Amino acid sequence: MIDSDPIDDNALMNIELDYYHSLFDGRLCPSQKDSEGKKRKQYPFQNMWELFVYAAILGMAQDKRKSIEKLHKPFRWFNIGSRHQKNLLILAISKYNSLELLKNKEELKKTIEEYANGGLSIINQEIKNNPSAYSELEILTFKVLEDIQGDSRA
Amino acid sequence: MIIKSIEIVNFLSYYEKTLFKFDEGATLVIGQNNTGKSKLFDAYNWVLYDEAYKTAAEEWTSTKGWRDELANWYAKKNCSINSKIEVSVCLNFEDEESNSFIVTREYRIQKVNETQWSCPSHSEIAMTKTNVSNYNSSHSIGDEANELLNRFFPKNLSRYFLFQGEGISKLLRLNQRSDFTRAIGELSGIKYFEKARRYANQVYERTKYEFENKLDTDRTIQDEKVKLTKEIDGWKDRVLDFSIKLENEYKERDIKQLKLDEKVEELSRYEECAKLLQEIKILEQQLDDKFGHRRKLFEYNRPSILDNWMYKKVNILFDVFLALYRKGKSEKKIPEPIRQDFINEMLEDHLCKVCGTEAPPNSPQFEKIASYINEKSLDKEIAIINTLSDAADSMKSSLNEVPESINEFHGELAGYQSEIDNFKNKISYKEDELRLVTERIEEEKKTIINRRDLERINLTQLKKDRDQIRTDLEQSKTKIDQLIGRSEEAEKNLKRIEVEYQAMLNKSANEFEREKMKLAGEIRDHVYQLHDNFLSKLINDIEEEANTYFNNMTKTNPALSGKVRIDYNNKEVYTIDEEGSPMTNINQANKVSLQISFVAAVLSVSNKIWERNFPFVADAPISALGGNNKVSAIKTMIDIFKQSIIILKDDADITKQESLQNDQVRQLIQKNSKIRNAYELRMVGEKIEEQKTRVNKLK
Repeated sequence: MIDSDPIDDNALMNIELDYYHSLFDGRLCPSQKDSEGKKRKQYPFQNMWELFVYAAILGMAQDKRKSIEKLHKPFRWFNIGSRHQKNLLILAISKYNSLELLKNKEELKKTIEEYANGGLSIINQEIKNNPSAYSELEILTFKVLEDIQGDSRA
Repeated sequence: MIIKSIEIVNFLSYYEKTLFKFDEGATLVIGQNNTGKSKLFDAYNWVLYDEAYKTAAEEWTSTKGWRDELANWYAKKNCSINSKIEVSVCLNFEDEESNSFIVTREYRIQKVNETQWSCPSHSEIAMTKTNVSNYNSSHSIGDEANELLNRFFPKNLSRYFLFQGEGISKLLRLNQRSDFTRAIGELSGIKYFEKARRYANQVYERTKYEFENKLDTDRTIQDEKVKLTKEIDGWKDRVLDFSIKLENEYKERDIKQLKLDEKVEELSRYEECAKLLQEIKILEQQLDDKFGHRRKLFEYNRPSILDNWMYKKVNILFDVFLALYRKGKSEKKIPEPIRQDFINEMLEDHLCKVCGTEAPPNSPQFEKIASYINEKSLDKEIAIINTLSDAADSMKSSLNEVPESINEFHGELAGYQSEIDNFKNKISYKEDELRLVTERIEEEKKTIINRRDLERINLTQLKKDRDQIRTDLEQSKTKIDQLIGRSEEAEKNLKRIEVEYQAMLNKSANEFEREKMKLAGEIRDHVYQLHDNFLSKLINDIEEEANTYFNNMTKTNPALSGKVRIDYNNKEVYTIDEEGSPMTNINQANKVSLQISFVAAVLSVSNKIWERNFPFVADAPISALGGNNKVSAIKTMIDIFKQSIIILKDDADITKQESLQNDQVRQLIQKNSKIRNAYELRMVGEKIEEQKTRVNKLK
């Protein structure tokens, strides 16, 4: 029986510390104390949770789940937009292949976090192969657009 | 005469043997800066007169003393010690009867060591004539060859048929020892009239001397003779003094005029640069704004585009969820939700509104209905699952097609992109214009100028400098007016005394000396008259011809106006308006047209007098012009001369195919049938000592 929200609003979301340094902290999204340098809108991801959602979906799309070794907790579940919260839950349930996951709050959160970690490892590798892979907002958007239109033509 | 070819060997930028062929009609030679254009022009001057242009001194000088500098760098580099390099230029031309002439000037230098060369004191010249009717050849060398050559290419006219755009202002100077005076001295035998004038004057002075030195018996007449002679000598000295001062002042004025022309041109170039820079800055600002709009468009649309893309990747997982949901429903694991307010309503009405059974308080039915109150967990679970199911449904439908917002984004983006491209094109066009103007400044200043240098130019100071030169020039003109006035006054006095002298003369008893002197005076006056009539006819002929050419140009170009006036008394060539007043502040196109008309007229009159057509070889004749004015001036030159060889700066950007295709000069080369040959010069080799001119034939 579910007697409260599947993931507590105040729950801190876990990510791998190494990825926090290499991808989050002022790299692909503004750091927590980012007030100077690039404007928020010039980052490919304007919030840490956006990168997290992107990574989780990437992890799930490529079926890459990876356990976290050194935990870092940079933001809370309620920071994630409600539409994305719902989608993450749907996707986690689909991956688990049972609605019963909703009853196991701990496993639900862990599932989402570990797929996000898998996605982060993919992004990390992409950047290693091509350091400018995510650097230009316009290039990134075009890359994504081409994919969308390619898919829709297919 | 027609120049048939020029063959250049190891001369300046030309390595080993390079051959240019020409025909009647026009030949265009184009090249960027420092590709060998002026070196080709040097080759003509060298083969004909043993002269080349010394850039540092800005004048044509004999190559004696710096002949080793004429040898090609690359040939010198490749030459081993004690070996020799041949430097030669060979010109082939035909006269009016189609007899063929070959002129060769050459010398050899020997490499002593890496820095020293042994160079002969003079170059060797040889000329061969082959008769067209019987193919007999005759040869001449040295002075004989030079003399023969001068009959075909008279040195005094050379600045007109070997025409250098840079020195055009000098050609318009009419003072003594100027190119023009030398040229008309060469024309129509006027130099013989000048000689006759000089002899007649000498004879008169001799008879006058004899008359004055023979004492008159009448004391009064003798005293008067001595007095008047002194006075005449005095006034003559004054008149001569004024004429020397005037001649010097004319020179001063011409130098100031030249300075003013240069300053005005410099200023106009810098003003053009400033205007173009301003236009570029405005366009760059507008381009930045457009980039800003485009960036905002990306920022605004990025989240929705990224969302769409991300969720498309996991589209199938939404299907999995919906399948799980439907399965749960069908297995009744997900009960239908019962609303709390509906339960309360049933309890208040004592009726189960699901099955219609009465439910009085405390009855089992009532208890059953009441048990559903506070079953929040059930509500919550169903609510969550249903919410997720609704979300999954909504995602599925939105993922099935490209959202309208993306299409709109595409439309807006294409709009911005076309505006950005448009601004980029405009900037690139303006930058090309700026590059052309800057290159002209660089050529004049012999230095590299970048955009920052141009931004630092102080136009106010340049204007002040120009105004100062203009004031100086006006002062010089005022001085000339004063000198002319004083000179006329002195001449008037001289005439008055001469009349007195004549009266005295008739009273003299020394009849023989007196009559002899009178006769010599009359002869002198007639010879002077003849000289003046001849000169004035010649000037009139040149002016008339110049106006014919100038009219042709004004007819086809609305930017040009006026008539050419050759003011030989004031030693000036200028344009006049319909009322005959000199036109001031004429535009650059007008000025160049005036200059070309004048040069063409001198050559045309020469052609008539000498009964031969001088070929017209021009180096950068219209460097000050651009666009339509430039093409129009080239066409004029092509039309005027039986043979013209025009060396031009290539204004196209040779690295861009589009620029080459749009280049007006290249288009003219292809379309104009009078252009029989065309060459493009390029410089190959990275280092200076490895550079050599490569010639591509364009037509």
